[in-house]
Amino acid sequence: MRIGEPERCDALAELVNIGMGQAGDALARLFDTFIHLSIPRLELVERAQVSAAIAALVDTTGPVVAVRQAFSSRIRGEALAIYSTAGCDTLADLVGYPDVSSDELLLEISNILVGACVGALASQFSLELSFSPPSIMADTTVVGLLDTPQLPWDRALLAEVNFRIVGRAFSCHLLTFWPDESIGVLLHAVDTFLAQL
Amino acid sequence: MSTPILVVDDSAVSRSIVIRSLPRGWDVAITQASNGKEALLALQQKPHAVVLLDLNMPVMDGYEFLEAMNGSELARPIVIVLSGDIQPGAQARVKQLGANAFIKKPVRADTVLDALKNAGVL
Repeated sequence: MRIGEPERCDALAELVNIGMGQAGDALARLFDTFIHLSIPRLELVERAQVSAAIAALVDTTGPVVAVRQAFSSRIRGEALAIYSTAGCDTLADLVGYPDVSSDELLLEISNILVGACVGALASQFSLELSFSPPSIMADTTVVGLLDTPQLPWDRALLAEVNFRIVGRAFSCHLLTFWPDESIGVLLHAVDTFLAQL
Repeated sequence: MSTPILVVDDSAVSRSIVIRSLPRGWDVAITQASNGKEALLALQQKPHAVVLLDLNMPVMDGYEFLEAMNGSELARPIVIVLSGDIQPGAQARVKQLGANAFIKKPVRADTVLDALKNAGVL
């Protein structure tokens, strides 16, 4: 990833890691079980490669359900939470609310994950974020998730983390996209963070 | 004599934060490792008084490191876990594996000091 010195990428990955830890904690409390957290992956993607990049990160050809949500302040970006359809079918059972629709649960879970993960990053940088209402995309494939020509950026920093429950079909890949002009703000915040060390 | 400390984290920035959070004026000799496997090698080379351990790492994570250390003949250091993964299950698991303390990231100097005092290192 060419966004500056390795130390900046490392610092950004560490901040993502802390955000993911808070998201994982929220999920563990909701499900009352242990959540396996991945090691965050960061890469710079061009608009034309974004579907391929997502497919490589999520690594499934099966049907998925995704929740998409934009956020903005001095930085803007969007989050995409991707769940395997098979895992979603067991969701109500996992949470112990058999009467709640799986869409409702997914929106709620995505809200928790995005709020904790992106929110933790924003609070490290003292940014007040506002979130758009989430939209849900059901029964699609990873490649069909984003309408690439409609994306409001040419290049973005893509950060990916994933949450799994050992022995269950449930898994969630949480992707955040930080468009080119937001990367500068992020890196400035990282530099401030590094300078305090 | 300097107190030998082993700092284990895959992020160099995070190791640097951990090292800077140690009490000022404390005479320490620091060894760094970027995963559990490197940490085991460091312990085989010489005993350390304290291991400051991250959990989520490639190659060998913090849990696997604790299991491997428990199953070995290595001299047993004080282990303080410093983790971004803060869920109750993570805290319970490392305590069960014999860790002396669990600190949530972002790391703060006062919580590190408290953990070192509680573990009887200071």
